[in-house]
Amino acid sequence: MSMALATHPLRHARALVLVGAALFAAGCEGESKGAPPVPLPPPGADVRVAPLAKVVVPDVELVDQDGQTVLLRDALGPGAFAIQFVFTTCTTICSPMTAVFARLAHDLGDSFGNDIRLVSLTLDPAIDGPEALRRYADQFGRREGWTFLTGRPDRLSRALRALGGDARVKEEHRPLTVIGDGQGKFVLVDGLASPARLRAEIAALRHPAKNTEAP
Amino acid sequence: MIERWGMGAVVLMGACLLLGGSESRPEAPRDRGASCASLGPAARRGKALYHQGRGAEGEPLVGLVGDGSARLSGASAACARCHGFSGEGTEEGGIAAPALTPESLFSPDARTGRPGHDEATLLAAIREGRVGARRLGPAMPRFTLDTSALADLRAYLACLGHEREPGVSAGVIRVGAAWPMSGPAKAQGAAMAAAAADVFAEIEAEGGVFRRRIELVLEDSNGPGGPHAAAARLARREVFAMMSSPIAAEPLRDDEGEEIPHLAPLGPTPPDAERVFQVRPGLDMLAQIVLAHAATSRRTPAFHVIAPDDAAGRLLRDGLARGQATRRDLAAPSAWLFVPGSFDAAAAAAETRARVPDAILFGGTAEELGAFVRALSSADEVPMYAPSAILGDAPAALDPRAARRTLFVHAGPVDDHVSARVRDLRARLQARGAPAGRIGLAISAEVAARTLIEGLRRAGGRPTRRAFVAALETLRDFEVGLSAPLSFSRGNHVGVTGAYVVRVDPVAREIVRVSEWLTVAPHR
Ligand code: HEC
Repeated sequence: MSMALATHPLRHARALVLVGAALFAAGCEGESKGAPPVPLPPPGADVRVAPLAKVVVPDVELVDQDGQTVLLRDALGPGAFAIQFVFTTCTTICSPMTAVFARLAHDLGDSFGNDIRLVSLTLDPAIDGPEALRRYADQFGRREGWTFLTGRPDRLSRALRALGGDARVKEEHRPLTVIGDGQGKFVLVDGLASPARLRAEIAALRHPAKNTEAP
Repeated sequence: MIERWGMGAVVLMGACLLLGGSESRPEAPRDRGASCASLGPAARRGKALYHQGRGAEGEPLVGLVGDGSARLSGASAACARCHGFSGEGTEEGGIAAPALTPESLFSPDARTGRPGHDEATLLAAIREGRVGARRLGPAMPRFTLDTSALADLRAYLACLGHEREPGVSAGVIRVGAAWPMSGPAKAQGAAMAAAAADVFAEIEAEGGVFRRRIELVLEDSNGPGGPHAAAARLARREVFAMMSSPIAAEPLRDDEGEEIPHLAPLGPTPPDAERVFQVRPGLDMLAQIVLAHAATSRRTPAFHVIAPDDAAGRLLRDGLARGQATRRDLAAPSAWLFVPGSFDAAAAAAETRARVPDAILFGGTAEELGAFVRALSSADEVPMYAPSAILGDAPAALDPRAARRTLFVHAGPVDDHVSARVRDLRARLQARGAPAGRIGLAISAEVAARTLIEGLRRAGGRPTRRAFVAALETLRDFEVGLSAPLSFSRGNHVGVTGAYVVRVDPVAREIVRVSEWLTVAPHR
């Protein structure tokens, strides 16, 4: 990742406490026979969210899962959006991330596709041509309003750099989601966030007053 | 952040070791070689779950990720995707999926401090995402599996990483081919078999590939049920890989559902195939090369495709359409597909005249091309292209008027060096008493055999199909002779992604180049 995380002090502190708990549970499991079980850390404990400053969505032409040329800006649409960084031959994290987007699209209901759009950007344009993306997208039941993007490597890496998803070695990429409100505000979600968490982060970004953030 | 977590883990684990009465249950990994040589029915079903995410009745494996609301199903839920194809485990983005081989599962794990798994803890991990009191990370799906599916999976996990590779034994690697051994094309089949046998004999004389010789297992593609049935019979006969055989709309799989690698198949790659390696560009790619060539001389050529309404004709048409979709300045092509075998030259010519295209891409046979050119008036001076394959081995037989008007896309090399190689192949076939007349398919078999050997050499002394496929994906500009140099990669299984535009010289009756080597970006 090329962009340093601007840390949000409160969230960060909470995350560290939970990390401690998780490690404790990890280290002592098995030896704790007979003792009362260590409480499970809540899922999503290792998800961190931080505002992203000075993001400018670059004006690049990319190619979608149907082989159509699209401007990144048009794929993101006029309203809010969430962007994730994946590639189709990825192990471990991409399938869960993409499954999370599928569920998110479902849970967003009417706002999905209208005020909120989803974009999955590939980190591996050499392998992920439109055809590969389409097959991958179909596995997760992509619907209109959710675009998978690839493109010329130079254009794609401009987009990735601007959005903070540029993994120098694609296998080392972290599960990142960038959320934008469409008005110039962005946050970076680092970690495998649940659909509910992403939905809450989108809502929090769009309507900060209502503080709808998930616990 | 990651480093800091690592440190914390070390400190905490140290504390646990001091505090806890460590009760270790080492279970020495048993020798599984014998029992895993051939998988029982339950383990086979488990294998399909593990690798393809497919249940006994073909139903998809389903797992819930994250907080349990997001769902993975089928191939994307397959254990292999995260835990590796031999259960070796993988790591990505700081999230490790641990090894699942019996040695790792059933002995204590230093990383997390868990003791060796038993039935109950394993089921809890798979179904509830929990090991002891520890909740597994959100990337490990919680699987909804019934008891029998769990038992299948359990049976396979006992053999994970210890299976015998199909078609591989101590001294032999078996390779399959479905070639005509009877009927009208028998001579070509015999030439193919001789070409392959010649390459394999040469390798054996050199000591084999890691001391193994290659055994060619043949089925008659003209036998009962035709070519696809022959290929299906081979899939049941424990072959490691296939070469230059007819290919159906679905990739060929063995009894366990594993796709059999196929080199230089006779036909286009099926959409779902992952282990098919083409040694020449498909018709769709050739169509795109035609487009690239036409676009250099005319800014916006409007193409008209005339081709049989079969898989090959549609590939030409779709390739051209796809090529045009990526270029905004080009008009969409029109197409006229005819019933294969009943080409009406006059109707095709009338249709062409009505459309006034800038260029024509012709997909019929050489005879049909001749008829079409004769039906056109000399005024219809539209540039015309066709794949060079329609010339077969006999460019000289082409109607001279068609020869004058038509440009051919030709993915093979065009030079004296090649003619020497072709003469050499003819001589070798004759030496083996094989017919050396029409040797187009024998060339394909020879290229497949040489590429196969190279892939096996690179795959190492314990070849698996997966390692073989990965090895082929490392080939760059591999010289086989008789073909342009081959390059494959993870994202590209078409070894040659370019072609020359050539014409048939009306006097010498030979192929001559009219363009540089033109390439298009491969796509899978
Ligand atoms: C999307 C990725 C993914 C898939 C698919 C997946 N796993 Fe996992 N699995 C993981 C990760 C990541 C872990 C480690 C979690 C942790 O340690 O917190 C894990 C842990 C495990 C463990 C615990 C190992 C131990 O050492 O205690 C078992 C057992 C396991 N997985 C079995 C399976 C089986 C069986 C399947 C298929 C039915 C499967 N997994 C599919 C990602 C995956």
